[in-house]
Amino acid sequence: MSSSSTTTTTTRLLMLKASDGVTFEVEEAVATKLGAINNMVEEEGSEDLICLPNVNGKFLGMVLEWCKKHANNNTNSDKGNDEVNKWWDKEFVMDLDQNTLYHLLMAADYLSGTELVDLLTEKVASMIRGKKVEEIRETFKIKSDFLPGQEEEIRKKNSWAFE
Amino acid sequence: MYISPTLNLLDPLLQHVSLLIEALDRISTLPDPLIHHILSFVPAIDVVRMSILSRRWRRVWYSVPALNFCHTDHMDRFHFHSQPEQAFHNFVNKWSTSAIWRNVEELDICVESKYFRNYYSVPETALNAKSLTVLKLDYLILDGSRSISLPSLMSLSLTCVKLDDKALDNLLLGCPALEKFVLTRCYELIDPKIASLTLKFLEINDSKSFRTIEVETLNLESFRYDGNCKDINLSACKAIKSLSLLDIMLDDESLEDLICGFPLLESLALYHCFDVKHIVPGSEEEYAYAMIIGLCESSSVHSSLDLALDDSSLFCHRPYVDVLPGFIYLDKLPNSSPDFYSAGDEDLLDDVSKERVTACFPKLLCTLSDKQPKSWSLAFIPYHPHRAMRQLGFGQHWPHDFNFALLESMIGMPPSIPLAEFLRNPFSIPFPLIRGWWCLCCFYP
Repeated sequence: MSSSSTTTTTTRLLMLKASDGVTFEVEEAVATKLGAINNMVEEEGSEDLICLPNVNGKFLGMVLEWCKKHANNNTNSDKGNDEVNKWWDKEFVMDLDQNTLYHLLMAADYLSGTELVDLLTEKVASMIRGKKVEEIRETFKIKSDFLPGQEEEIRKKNSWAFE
Repeated sequence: MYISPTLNLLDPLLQHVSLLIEALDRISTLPDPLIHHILSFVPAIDVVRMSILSRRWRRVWYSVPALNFCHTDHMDRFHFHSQPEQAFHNFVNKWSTSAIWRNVEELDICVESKYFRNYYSVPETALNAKSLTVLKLDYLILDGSRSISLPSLMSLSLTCVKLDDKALDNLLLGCPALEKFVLTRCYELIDPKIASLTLKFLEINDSKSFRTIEVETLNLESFRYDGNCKDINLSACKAIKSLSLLDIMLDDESLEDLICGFPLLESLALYHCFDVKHIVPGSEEEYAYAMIIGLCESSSVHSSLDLALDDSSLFCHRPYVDVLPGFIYLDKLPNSSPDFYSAGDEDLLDDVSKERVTACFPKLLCTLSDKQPKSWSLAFIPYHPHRAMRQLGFGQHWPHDFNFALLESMIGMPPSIPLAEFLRNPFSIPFPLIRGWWCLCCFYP
């Protein structure tokens, strides 16, 4: 399975291979939105297939989808896209389930997609802000592994935050 | 209808697997740097409360690089005000010895007095945090005898802090790298002297207790003063490029004396300066600077205001002066984009949004300070069809909600609005209907 993008004579294409063997053919301008890919291209050139053993095809696809959206913006002189992208970003993160969010964040971090990391971490933060501890535990399925009394002890220690 | 038996068998299994995946605690397995990144968007009090989530989270917050302690944000939500004094007392005591001070770079302590009977002293550790680069203190006491060492501090903001002249001297001595200083409503200062070799940006707001102000900052580039102290000594500040004066009782002569002392002056903003009638910025060669003249709330004055600038620098001349009750911004470069300059702080913006903007600005540029970018409430600008507004600018860091409200408020605007040039990372409105309405803004760097 490979997703191809529109080619013109001027844009160079890069081949990216995900951990599960899925390959993506993307414009260089799109892929180099990712710091890691940019470095690889600068150091080794873009001739070879770029293997990304830490990223699954599904999530690489999503990361590249994001890059594509944002790379277009840079080349387009229409500054209106900036705001369109903000809306698009909002949609992009709106309905992500936690599993996807997690893998996407790990992928974005691994690929040094700084802006995407910002977007995703802010999304996670929005799920935390203003919530009670029990709500956070429930949202993120965090299990308390404290010994009996330990939690109470920490509460006491930082009592100002719990009053 | 034929249903594949394998699919049928697999279905419950797949469902089970997906349920299992959903039940996984993903966030706890993220590497620390990503968790810190997430927590940098979360208020400190929430971050601290997360220490009881599980053992994984117990110490995570010790190493978060930026913490924001604005208690008032969360008072209501966490019923903090039930025993606020005790809580703050605990905060100072417990946190004074905490390891977080080794890493913290930005600190914002706001103990607003409406929730507290007493003022509290600034925690000792906060005044000796080596890594601190940004410090913002609101409603605290800072006495002159404290030992202060903030070698990395670059930005300092004091609001309603009780400190006297001596304490201010002492504080500035302890901040050898300070570049930006904002002083607001510190009423125990009488004859403050602001001395610093590194300071570039100084802002003094609401200084009604001041008798004199002495500013001895050789490298100061921007000075903004909002107050009525007449005795300001700026003679040591030869590097000033930008000067903003609000509410100051200056007449033509004293203004001329003042700006003649600043050979590098590029912009001058005057607000509510009713006594200024005539501005002569010296010889044209020497003063080919951009003029920002804001004569807010002084519409009776501007008709007699005489701008003795040559035509090239006087981008918008008489006609605009006549129609503008508010702000004029004249750029030094005729082919760049001069925009009408509006308020530089929250209060004035509010003023702008409610009254000024609805007036007939051919161009408007809202310039917002970065004092409290997160706390800006909705400030959208209503469109008045009978006004002659042709161009409008807004900020780049507006909260998302604002953008929607802004859009709503702009829907009725005509599409034939000329496009503005951009200053920094502006964004536009995605509606084709209102394409032409651009949002722009600049912040103090």
